[in-house]
Amino acid sequence: MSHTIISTRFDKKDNHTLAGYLANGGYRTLPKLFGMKPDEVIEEVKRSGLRGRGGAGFPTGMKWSFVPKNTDKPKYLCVNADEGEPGTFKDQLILKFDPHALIEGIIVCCYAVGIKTAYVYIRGEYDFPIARFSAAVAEAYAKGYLGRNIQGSGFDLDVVVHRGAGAYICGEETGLIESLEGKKGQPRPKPPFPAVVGAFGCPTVVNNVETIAALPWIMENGAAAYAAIGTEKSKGTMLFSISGMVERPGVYESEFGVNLWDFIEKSTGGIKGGRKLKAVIPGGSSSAILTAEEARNVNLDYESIAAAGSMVGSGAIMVLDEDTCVVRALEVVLRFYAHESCGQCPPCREGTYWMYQLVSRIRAGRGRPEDIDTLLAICPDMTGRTVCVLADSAAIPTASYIKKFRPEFEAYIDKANPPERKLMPGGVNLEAGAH
Amino acid sequence: MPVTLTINGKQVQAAEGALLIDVCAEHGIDVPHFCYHPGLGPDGNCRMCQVEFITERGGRLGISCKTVVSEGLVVDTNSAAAKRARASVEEMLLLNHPLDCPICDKAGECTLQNYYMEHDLQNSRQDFTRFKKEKASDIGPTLILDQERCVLCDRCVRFLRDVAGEEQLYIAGRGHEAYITTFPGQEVTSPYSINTVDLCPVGALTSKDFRFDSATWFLKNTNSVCTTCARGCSMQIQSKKGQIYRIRPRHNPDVNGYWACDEGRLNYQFVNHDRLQTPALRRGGEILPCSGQEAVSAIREMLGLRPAGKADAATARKSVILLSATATLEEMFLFRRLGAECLNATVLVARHVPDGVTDKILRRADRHPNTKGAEMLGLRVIDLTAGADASVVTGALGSDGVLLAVGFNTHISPALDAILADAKRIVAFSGCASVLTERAEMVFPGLTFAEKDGLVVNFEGHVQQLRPAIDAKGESEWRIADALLSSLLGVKPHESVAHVRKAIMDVVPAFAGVDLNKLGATGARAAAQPVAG
Amino acid sequence: MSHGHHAIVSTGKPFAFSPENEKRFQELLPKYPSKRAVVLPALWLAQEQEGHLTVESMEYVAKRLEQTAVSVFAVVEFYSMFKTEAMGKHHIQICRTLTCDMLGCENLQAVIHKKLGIGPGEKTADCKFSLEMVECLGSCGTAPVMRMDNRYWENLSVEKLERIIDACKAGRDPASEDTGR
Repeated sequence: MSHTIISTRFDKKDNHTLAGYLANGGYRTLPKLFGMKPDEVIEEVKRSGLRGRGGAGFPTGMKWSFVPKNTDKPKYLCVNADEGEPGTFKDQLILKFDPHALIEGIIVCCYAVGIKTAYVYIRGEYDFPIARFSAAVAEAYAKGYLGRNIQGSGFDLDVVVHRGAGAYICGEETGLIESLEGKKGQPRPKPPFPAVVGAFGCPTVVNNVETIAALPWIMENGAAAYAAIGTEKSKGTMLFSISGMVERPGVYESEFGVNLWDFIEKSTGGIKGGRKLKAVIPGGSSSAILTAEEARNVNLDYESIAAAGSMVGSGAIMVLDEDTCVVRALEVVLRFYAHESCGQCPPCREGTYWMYQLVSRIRAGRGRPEDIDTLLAICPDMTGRTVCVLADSAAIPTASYIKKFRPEFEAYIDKANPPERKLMPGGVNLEAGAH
Repeated sequence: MPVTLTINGKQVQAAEGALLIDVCAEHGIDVPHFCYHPGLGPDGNCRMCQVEFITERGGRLGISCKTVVSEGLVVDTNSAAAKRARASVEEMLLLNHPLDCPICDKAGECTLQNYYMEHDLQNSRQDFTRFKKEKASDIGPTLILDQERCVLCDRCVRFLRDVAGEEQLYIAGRGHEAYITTFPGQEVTSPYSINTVDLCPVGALTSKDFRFDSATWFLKNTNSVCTTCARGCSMQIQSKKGQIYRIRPRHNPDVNGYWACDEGRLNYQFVNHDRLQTPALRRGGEILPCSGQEAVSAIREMLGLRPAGKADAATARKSVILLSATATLEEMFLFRRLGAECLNATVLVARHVPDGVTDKILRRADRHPNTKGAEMLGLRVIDLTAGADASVVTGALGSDGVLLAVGFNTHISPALDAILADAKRIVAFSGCASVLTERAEMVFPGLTFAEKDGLVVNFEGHVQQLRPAIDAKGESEWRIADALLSSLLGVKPHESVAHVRKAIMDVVPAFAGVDLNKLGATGARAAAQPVAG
Repeated sequence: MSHGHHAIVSTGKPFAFSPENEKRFQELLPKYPSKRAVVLPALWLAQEQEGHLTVESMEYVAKRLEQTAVSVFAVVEFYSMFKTEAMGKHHIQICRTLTCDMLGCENLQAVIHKKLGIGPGEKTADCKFSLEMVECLGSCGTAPVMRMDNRYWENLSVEKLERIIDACKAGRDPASEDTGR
């Protein structure tokens, strides 16, 4: 790709150590940062057009500016490293291979907003990323990049690594805050928003790892340089996690505005084994599926993908080839959301499980003709009805998979024409699968 | 500054900061809800109170319990979208609900059931085996938990934590597998635990005391007052065929809010069982039933009064009228007059039920409902809980005085027992058999709180009315006192208890400022300070 | 998952942090403005020490942090990584979400069944292995993946998983088998 910002140092030797990071130009922005007024930093980030890379795509500088300036309360930064959206595996690379970039970005954000404590909430399963990042934090403390009077600036900052314990919903920002506070990770009704009442009842910024990791580059090269990359409303670059039926899955960085399929094909070498493309899920398992034709004709940026009826989300691109069963894919996605619903709101708690039961029955060949329409009818009842968007995240794929691949669903139901028993590309016969 | 908003096309005013769901209720619109409760505040989890907000950009659904009213807000609580949203929540909640309504104690007063009638009335689109959870778990001395019926509204959890101050329940797990639970091996032991049964919108939490006793729709409701302690919580007595089945708190912002303690709710067994029903007179060592006329003659004889005609206090035998502090204001008033105007009697009010605890919620150490009333009437209140004041009674009785003991249905304390052992002649006004009635020469079958029409004054001076929930099993104490009084004074008896209350207002300055005959459902505050007597 | 607390009973074995964990616990406290925020980190310490969370260790954590035991229990039951029963020495967590499913995680489950005779939620009689099918491990680029012995095993094939299991069974370090596909 022509532009790399976040991933530039991923493959540099020993970049995860402080010495390696410094050798690669790390922490260079700090003198400039501490020479600016905090408000100037916020303005700079606003001008860069940086948007949250966790999934919602909210403008970062604007989020910061919602934090009250005059408050007696402490303020907090929560770095969201829960990375739970299926298909997403980019933040772990930052934690593993460029941890000091995240620390440097944390310093930028905390200095701008006036924060003295940052919590980095890392999903509990990420043993190695937690170890790597914790080691980097320890080294940063030891060398005066964290703690009291950072590099003689007079600015104090503590960074605490907080380990999650297995719950997708803790990636939702208020679920994360509840979890950080030692509770079940159940999202809070909003308002109030975290910027006003967040962690421990105090103003809190919640930003994704990648968002924060982009800050040092913006500070070093200027907002204008960042804004010059990408499109009008999708500025800069993003890490895209590409997985599924492609030759070389992985994390690939790109500026916004490129053609989606071109990008996938050039990065990964295209579909495995030369098979045909069936569909692309562009923004994590909660995004609407795109048919092969749609994927070939859409650009990879917030507005284009939205116009195509889906979303960039967390940049998790999952590729389905011609042999991949869409009904099975939906069953697996719904099983995920049913498992991860926090259980507060009835539409989500009951609805995700119900939808999973319906699709599971269809896929097992026991579906009833009305099941498909029942599924479609449930979707609006799960959209915009709950505290957070987990219910929506189950309804969106359901509606789009059925709408775009209805014959596949019908084939499982139509008993007169028994469906060809699909093999998943991995090779196991699902009908014989040991559940 | 009040704000103006529009609800269902009608402009209304509301206080700044008010919750939309409360404002709707004030205007007669009951927005359906499970998790919101005015005594617990909003939580926002159940999604049942969704209404449609009409904005310039079109309609938007939102929950009314978390919406603070604002100027110009336009709300439609019954738009098609709002109704669909609520019907869908109802459907979701019923997906894995066991539908065991025919054997559920909550049937008839179940919110889930009622909203089904209002919103859904569809056959279930769900035809899977319902998700199984634990049923009929014994989670403490008062409660049974059915996890399958639970809608996870969190009310019980919030009540125990936020009101009772004892976090003993929690929702564990997540998604459709979430369930209410105690900590493994622990129980719900809060003295306020049964409030969770009232709060439970479904039959997930049921009371061991009431479980399987009666269908709720067969019960008759009577507004009354708890007589278990000096708080005097507003209660609703639920009865059937002359028996009490359940007692529940009534909302009274001046006294108990929405709550009651478990002890108060369960303190009714003595009303239902082993009641004395006819007057009885001891003849030759044996106590035998007698007629009312015989009983009155016997009393006159015992007190040394002439068989008929007016009283002569100077020639009457010395006596002590000892009233329980559970007696009503009217009883205390009439017995006071009887003692003062007709007999050579000392009138005392006794606290005899052992002290409980005073906590920060409702319970008061003084477990008598009318100690304050006695003080306001100017009666001397003595403490027989520990025995300190027993000598006051024995001294006043002397060697051959007559003890008239009124209202000691329960709790014959050791101090009272000592007095009884000492007294030569005893007349008992009591609804329940005890050592008192065994020792008495004369027993009038008295009434319990559940049969009386009378007033009690709580420790803060709040006057409330006991109302008869079941037919009287004995004879009204105030009527007997009034009958004696009228015959001895040669005046007309009071026609009704209302006339007695009128007399109290006329005679007792402490009650001059309150209309005792117009107390309403929640009572009224009388003068706070007792008048020296 | 149990639906009620009757499945979880007291072991009667008292719990307290080891001296080393006590030190870590003391270091955690000043990092948070509330004691409650230390619940998750303290549960991690307790679980690492005992292998799983017992009634006693949950009560202990609650007491040390001035929380009710039931609130700590609810937290434990909310998070999938906290365990209230002992797992096998090698607890195998195979990811079953979309990419891993596409790439044959069910084959891996079949391998475990064939080699160890256990299915999801089960443990071998010798307590050496247990199996859990888990939701997305966030490593879809190297699917199919599993987590075992506090690390990920990526790009798994049937053969590779067989080699890893064989190494574990033989008491060898399975890391030597983490090569290729």
